[in-house]
Amino acid sequence: MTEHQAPRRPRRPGLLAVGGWSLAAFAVVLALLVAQMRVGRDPALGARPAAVAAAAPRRVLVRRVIVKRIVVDEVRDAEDGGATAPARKVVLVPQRTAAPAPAPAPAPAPLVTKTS
Amino acid sequence: MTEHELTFRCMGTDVRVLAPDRAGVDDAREWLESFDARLSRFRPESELCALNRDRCAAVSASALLRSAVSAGLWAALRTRGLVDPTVLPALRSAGYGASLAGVAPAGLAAALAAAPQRRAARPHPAARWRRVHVDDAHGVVRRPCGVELDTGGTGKGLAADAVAHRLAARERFAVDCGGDLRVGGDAAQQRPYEVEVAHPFGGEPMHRLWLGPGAIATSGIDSRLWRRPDGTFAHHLIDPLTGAPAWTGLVTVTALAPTALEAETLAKAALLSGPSAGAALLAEHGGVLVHDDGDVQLAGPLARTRARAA
Repeated sequence: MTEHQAPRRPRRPGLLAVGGWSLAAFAVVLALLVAQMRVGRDPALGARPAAVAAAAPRRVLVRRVIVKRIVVDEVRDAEDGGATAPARKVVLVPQRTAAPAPAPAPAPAPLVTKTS
Repeated sequence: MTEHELTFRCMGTDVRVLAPDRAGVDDAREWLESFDARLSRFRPESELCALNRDRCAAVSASALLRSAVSAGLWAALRTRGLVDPTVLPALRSAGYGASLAGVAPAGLAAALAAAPQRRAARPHPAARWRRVHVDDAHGVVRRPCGVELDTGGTGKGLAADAVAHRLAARERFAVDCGGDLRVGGDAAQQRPYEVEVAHPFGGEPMHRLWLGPGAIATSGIDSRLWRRPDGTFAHHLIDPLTGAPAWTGLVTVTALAPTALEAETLAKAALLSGPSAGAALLAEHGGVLVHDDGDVQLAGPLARTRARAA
């Protein structure tokens, strides 16, 4: 006589196993996300553009302000006995030390047109 | 800038030269004195007198004499015969046979009071000047025998232009040949010369202007004016048609022009033409006309400038 055995029902995983596997899967996914974030690939921000235009190199203008300062030492007259130190005068415009220009020549008398 | 100035007597009048260097001024004087010696009709030894004495139809002439004759012919062409270089016999008949340099002119008011009825001068229909030819290729002047030439009508203007040519390299200069002025040089544009136009009645300035590169000249009856033995008055501006001094209603005319030759020609032509036609002749470059009664009339650009200023 043949005995029919009742089909075996698969064993249901235990409560601890299910919890353990879930925790492990969560940890794996979390680790992947952390790694991705660390390299700057934030999934919430979407993919980075394929080609980011290289920023034009910034031109740096160097502005040089040159101020000519000519220091003229004026020799004091002898009235103070030369005891004091020479005065120092700052002149911002180059000053010629040549002899003063002569007075302009008087303009010639106007030309006259008349019958001759 | 230094400017040298030299005033001296030449061509029977006062000459004044202003130039930046002494050499230029001295060169101008030397050249003008040579010009006068060779072309004066009052010097028997001059080339002009030799030409007028010569009975040949073709007379050998220097480049200077040919230039002077050409200038006279140009003036005749420009004025259609009104400024005629062949009126020398009429000029002599009027009493201008010898130089009047240094001779005080007769009284202008008396001359105007005694003058005949005013009438515009006209060219002579025979136009003898058209039969005078300058042949530069052969170095001769050709004219009918007996036709005498007077280059004096255009001589001072031509002389001023010639000196200007010699001073052309200078930055600024002025040449005054007895009132015929020529100004030149690149700097004259920025620094023009002040010019006074003298009134014939009294000599005071009646108009002032600033002249850059260009010329101004005055012609009139007030300076070469004399009384003839018969008591009548005469002057040196001849009416080619009548051969007599022209009394047109104008005493002096001052003309502006690019060259002194043209200014002198225009001034003479305007005076000979009378008030209305004379003003029209000055319309292009401008000028000043003084009427017999002393009234001053501006013409051309000078009149427009005065109108804008008023």
